[in-house]
Amino acid sequence: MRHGQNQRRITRTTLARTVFARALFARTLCAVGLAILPIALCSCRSMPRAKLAHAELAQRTGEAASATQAMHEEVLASDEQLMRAAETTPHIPAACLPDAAPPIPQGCYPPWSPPGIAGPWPLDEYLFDGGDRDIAATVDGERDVHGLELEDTVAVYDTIDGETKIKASNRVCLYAPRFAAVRQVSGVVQNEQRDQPIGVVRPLAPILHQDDQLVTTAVQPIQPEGEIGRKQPSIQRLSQAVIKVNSRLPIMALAGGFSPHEDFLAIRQGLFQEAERARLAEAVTAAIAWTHDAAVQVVLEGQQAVSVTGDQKAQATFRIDTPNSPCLRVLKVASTKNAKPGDIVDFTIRFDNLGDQTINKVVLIDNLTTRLEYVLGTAQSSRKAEFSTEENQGESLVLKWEFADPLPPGHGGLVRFHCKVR
Amino acid sequence: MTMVQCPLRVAGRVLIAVLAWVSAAAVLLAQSPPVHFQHAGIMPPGAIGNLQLQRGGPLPGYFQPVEIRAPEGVAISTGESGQFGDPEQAPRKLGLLIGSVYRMRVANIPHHPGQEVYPTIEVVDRLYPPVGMEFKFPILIELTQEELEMAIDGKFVTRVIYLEDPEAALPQAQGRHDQPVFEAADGENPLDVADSLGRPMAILRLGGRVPDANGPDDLFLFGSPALLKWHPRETASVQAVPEGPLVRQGLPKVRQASAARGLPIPMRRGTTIR
Repeated sequence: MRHGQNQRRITRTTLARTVFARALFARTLCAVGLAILPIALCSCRSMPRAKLAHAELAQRTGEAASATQAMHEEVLASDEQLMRAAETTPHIPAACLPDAAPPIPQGCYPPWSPPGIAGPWPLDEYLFDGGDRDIAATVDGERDVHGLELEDTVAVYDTIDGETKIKASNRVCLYAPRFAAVRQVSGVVQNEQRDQPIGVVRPLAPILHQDDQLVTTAVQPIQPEGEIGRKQPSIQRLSQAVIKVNSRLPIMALAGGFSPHEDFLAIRQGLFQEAERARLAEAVTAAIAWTHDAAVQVVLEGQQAVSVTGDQKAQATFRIDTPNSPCLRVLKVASTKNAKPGDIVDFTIRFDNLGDQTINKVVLIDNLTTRLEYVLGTAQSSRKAEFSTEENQGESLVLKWEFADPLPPGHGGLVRFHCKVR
Repeated sequence: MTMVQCPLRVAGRVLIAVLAWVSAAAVLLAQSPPVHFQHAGIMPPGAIGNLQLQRGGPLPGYFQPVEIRAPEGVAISTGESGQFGDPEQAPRKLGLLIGSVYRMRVANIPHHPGQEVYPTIEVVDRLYPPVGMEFKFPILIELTQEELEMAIDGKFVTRVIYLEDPEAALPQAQGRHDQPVFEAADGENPLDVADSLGRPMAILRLGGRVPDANGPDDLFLFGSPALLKWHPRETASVQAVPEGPLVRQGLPKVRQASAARGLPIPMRRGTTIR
């Protein structure tokens, strides 16, 4: 009996110890977590700012760089002039030329960039020009460009149907870090002493003096010479009743009027009525039954027309394709991929009409970034153009080439200019 | 009954702990300043760089190139193995470890013969240039005549060199020797000011201490951390050798058969062109 009680007591004690140990373990776990989490949050918060802020932009830049590379290769294959320019103007700073400097011991770390980020990084060490950053540039009906920010390079042109379009170039990157400094000067020993004032300033009351002068002049109002006349309106709004409500234009050339199977508004007047759908369907089915594989060949304005709805039906519609795919490609390259303050960088912009129609009023706009200063008198163009500049918000310039001549399909041009890196 | 309540009690405690974590995180985020430098510029040399190393990233072991510019004629010595090395004329290009503090000796200061200044340089961040461009784009550290004279007069100058943010760059041309300087007012943290304008890269401290009469000790030189010295390659003009039989005699013979097959061309070692 006593042995049984002792056994239960031991069991209770063991159970209590187990519960206490588990509670202690849970408390310890919570305390460790509470201690670790702020440190983790601090370390996340204290990552280099460039790493966090530029991650997304760098990814976009990487995609743009790969697309630009493809465009670049295409143009190089087609244009010998640009090929020569591009041979000296690599615009992707991923690769580099070896310098005379000895290699830097990297320790156990290779050149580092955050995982998953392509392209130039960090962005605060690079200068960019070209493309359409942040807010998308748009053009309205009066050819005013909106959303043109620093670094943007766009081309504006008109299509043959009067539509105004805008196209951005690729983005050019230059490795050009620039340094400045913040200085604070402090003395090693500072001593400041204030002396007790020894004098009392007693202000004197001002003596009031007032001098009124008589008015010697008066303004004489002038009598108006004319009066405002009211004239009766001589024009009245005239309401005229609509005389012609509907115009019926029956086909008069057919001899003997319409046949019974043609008794549809769709045939006679080209109007489709819902009430005739059922009867029209029957007629169409009948027409198909008698249709030959060698359908009617339609030629419109000397061009082979294609069937829109299929020539196996009675109501086949034919059309011809008019050129309506305007496309302008703008490509920008730079003469170097790294520059120091004071260096001169040559930029070349190539534009090509890759569409199937002639485009008009091509305007090329380059909004230079703050650290690029246009060198006066260096703008060139392979096509006749009117060149103008204006100041922008970054205290640099907006360069503008306006091409008066239309640009036929398959044609293009080059513009060049020099910039000094500030 | 006990077996049922125990898991509930544990779950409740875990829930309380999670709520405590969330509230602590919210408080931390709300109190974080808009800049990531939470240190003052008056902290002792090395403290900021060491804290920067703890943030992670590829900073330890990297020799960041710096270029020290000074007025013409100024000679700069670096601390090496417990003493100052041979003075060399400015500008000097060095590779400095991030987080370490380097003591320099600046002598031959114009208009102050015989006087010396002992500044320290602490690199707190690095650049990420394209491979091979490291020494072409060093961090520029300028020792101006004005600041050297301030140090001689007993003032303490803290100069935080930062990388300009291109988005907020000054719209003025910058030459090779005119680094723009912003003055931080008294009571203002120069690191905060630099952080708001760009990315702090290095801290130059001028004035204050001088070595003991017996020479600099290890404490004064901050342990003489390792550094790289970079000297531009010496170029010598090479005269063109006129073509003739003399040149051809000196050239190694090439077996045409091997060259035609695309095999490596055998070269005789030690062959010289006279």
